[in-house]
Amino acid sequence: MAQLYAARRRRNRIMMGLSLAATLMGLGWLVAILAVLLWEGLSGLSLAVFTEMTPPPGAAGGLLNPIVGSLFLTILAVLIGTPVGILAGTYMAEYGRHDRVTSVVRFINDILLSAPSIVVGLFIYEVMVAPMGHFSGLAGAVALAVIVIPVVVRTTEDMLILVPNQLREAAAALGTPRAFVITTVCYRAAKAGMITGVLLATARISGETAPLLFTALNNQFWSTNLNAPMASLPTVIFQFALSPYKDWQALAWTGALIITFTVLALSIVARALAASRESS
Amino acid sequence: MLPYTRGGVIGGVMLGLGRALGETMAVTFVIGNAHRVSASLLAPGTTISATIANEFTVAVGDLYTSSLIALGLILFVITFIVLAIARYMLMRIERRIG
Repeated sequence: MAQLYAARRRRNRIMMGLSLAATLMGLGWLVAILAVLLWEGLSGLSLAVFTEMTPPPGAAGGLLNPIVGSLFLTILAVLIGTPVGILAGTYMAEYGRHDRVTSVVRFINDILLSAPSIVVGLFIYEVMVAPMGHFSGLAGAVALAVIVIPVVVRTTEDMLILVPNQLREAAAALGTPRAFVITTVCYRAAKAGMITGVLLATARISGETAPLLFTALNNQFWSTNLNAPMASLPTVIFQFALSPYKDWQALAWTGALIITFTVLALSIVARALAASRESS
Repeated sequence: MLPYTRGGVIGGVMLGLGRALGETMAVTFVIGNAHRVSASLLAPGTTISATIANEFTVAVGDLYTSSLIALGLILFVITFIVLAIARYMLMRIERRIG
């Protein structure tokens, strides 16, 4: 009997060890990526990176125009995508929770959530860039907004469904119209979760390269004109990293470092917000 | 546990497959964009998304552009099918849990 238990304990320990190793391998990749980025990118990090334009090969310069371009594109995309996403999510959770339409939309939305981003880029190229005749920052922002929408729809719906029905009934019993029940009771109760969704969507799009390649294209110079091609950090990293010039490659590493830590910080803030909602 | 959640686990794996199928940039960097089918995993090759990313901006002529967009359609249909199956499996297990 003791022998049997010993064998079982041994097997348990081996399995636990394997599970632990699998977890460590998953986390190990993250640590390794961050370590390589710090190793390669930190040496290039200086004030000049944030104050100077992208250089021609062989000259000194920074990443000011792609950083500003990325901020522009990301903020604009969130501004376009969030209202659409929140309204759609509100409909799905508040009005048509058990409708057929809702389940179909939910299904399609879940697929869009992980649809290849390059196809989004192609789509926006066909509907915006080709008719307009030129690449533009606006097209880039719309392409990113297409990626924002499913994320926001999903989190808004999930968060509104978590709001207890008693709250809605209590508000309705006081004679509150339905629209006010939603905006003043449900939104307030689900606020932290909905903001988390927007932050996660921001984190998701700020690192996207593929949809920008043929919409916002790239721009070597300072430009805040949304009707013209616009630089963005990911596309500049793509261009510089694949170039044969040493100083461009170094800048690409620094850019990658900046963008990775920005996304990491955004994700952590989003998770912290979500956690604070659960504990309260 | 595992047999009970089998649908969910497979669904999760297929969701991952769907993401990997459409992944563009990470692949474009390292694959080499060689237009041939090679039996060796260590030789340069190409994927649909890498081809589009590399060649779309340099494509001249309607035929070239259209072919790349057709490639995008093929990619979308494949990922759509994979993701739809994955979601279906996940939805079924969610319904069983309640």
